Amino acid sequence: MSNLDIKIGLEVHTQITSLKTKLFCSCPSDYRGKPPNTNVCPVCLGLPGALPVVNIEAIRAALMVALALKCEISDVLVFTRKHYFYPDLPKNYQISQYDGPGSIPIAKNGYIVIGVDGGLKKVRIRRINIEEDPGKIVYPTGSLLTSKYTLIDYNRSGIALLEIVSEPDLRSPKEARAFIDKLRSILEHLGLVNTELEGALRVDANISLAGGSRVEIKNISSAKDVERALTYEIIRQSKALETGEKVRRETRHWDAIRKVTVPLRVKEFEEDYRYFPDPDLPPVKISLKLIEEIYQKLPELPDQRIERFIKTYGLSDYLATVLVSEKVLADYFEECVKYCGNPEIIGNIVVNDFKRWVDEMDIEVSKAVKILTPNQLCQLVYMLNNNIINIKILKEIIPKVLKYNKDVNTIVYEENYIDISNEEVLMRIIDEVIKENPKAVKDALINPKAVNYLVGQVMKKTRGRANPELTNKLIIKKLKELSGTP
Amino acid sequence: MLKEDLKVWLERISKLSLIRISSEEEEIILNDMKKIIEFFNTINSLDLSNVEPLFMVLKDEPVVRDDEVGESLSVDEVLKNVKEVEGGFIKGPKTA
Ligand SMILES: [Zn+2]
Repeated sequence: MSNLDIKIGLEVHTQITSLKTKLFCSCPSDYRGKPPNTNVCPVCLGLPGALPVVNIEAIRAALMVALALKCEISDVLVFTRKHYFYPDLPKNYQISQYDGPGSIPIAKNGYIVIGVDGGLKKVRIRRINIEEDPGKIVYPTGSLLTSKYTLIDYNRSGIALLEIVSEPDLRSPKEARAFIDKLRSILEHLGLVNTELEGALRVDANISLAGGSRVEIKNISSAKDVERALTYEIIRQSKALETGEKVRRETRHWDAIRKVTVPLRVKEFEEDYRYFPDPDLPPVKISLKLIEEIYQKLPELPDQRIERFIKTYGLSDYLATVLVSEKVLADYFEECVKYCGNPEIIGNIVVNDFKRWVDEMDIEVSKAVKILTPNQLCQLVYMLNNNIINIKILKEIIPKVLKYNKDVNTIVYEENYIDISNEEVLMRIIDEVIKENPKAVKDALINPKAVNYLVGQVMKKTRGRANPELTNKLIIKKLKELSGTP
Repeated sequence: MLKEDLKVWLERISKLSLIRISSEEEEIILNDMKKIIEFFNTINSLDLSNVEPLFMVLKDEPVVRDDEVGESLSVDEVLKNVKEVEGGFIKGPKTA
């Protein structure tokens, strides 16, 4: 199936975690870890007579995102009631925004530029809504499908959310992931969202294949899972289309544990949210002056930062892009460079070793940078530059530091990792290896490529401590002596 | 809109909003709706092509609040009107 036949659109819900309070009431926004139903008030419980009042900082945050995503901004902020019945929604309507008579989203028609196969691609943003988060449902069996009832905690009810909706411009699961990674980095750089917090960023994806129907996948909580869920759907839908089965227009649920999508119960009648402007919330004028003021204060955004990394530090496009894809990672890189220079070496280590192991061990980057601190990484770079350790050893030490949270120096000296560059010491080991591997020596005398095997044996004997270039040179010299050629 | 159409509309809207309507109530609502529609028909008969629609009046001073933490309710108060509680959670219906 060619990529052109696939259309993907994303709906990203992100909490504005930088706020101290909820969107329409003064309950604290840090609801995580609190006992259930202890972080609520009449407004976010939807008690009769309670009146919502919008948090001014939520408006400013939405305008920052709108500007960063190059959107057209509405001159008035209007909230709309979206009606539906679900246990997590105490008022039976969600205060949201809508594009229709009497209503308008805070921002429309923007775009995000993502990197795709070495090129750049503009993905259009349809709209941005400010809305309130519903409460949280806990399923007694752990699964929505098998639970006989629900348990509800309203601590999250009323948390400020932005709903960012893309046009169906994405053509593959990989592009969808790149989009989310880029958006996440923008939100982090704006200082509005701590995306490491559980549930801070949630995604619904819709996907259609040529000849099929639009299928919506709900409940995806990471960029990685967006890629997985979409890949699963492409396989499921193309199989159905191949066998002549009909792909139904439906909503499916992403089961992150079993890694499959499952259909949700079909609704009895078509969705009708009965949208109308919320009479409890008078519209707020958005002045040009306010937009101008926020624009002036926008921090450096990912695209500008990538450019600066390339220019200032001489990094490759690839290294700069990977570093800036996560704000913590980019900050970490810059701190290390401030500490000990060597931007190219550090850029490579951070991307190819540090990031790789952090992903593999599934630790949060923000935690990992506190283990292998800039000071620690700089010590490794110092030892590398002064031939105390070689690059191979450095690559071995990084996962050990991350895993055991041990000091770099302790590992290097306790585990005897110091590089062997002493020719006499090396020659003794080489002589041993040559004695033990007569056949390999014969091969190496005919075929220069076979020298690598002997180098490998020396590395094995020294647990990787032998300086590889010097070892190689010494073995070749020794072989020449053996073959009698000068 | 004819009375028959209004009946279909009322059925749909009561289903959507999960409100059961008795036959007496139905009669009252249908009569009210007819009056409302007639009123709008009067407005519709005016030439308003040069008038921008107005949905709400903008206030000079916006009604907003600062991002400052205030009091939340005690958990006893929160759970006062709740039928069933389990471990501090409010028990709700099955959703799938
Ligand atoms: Zn509240």
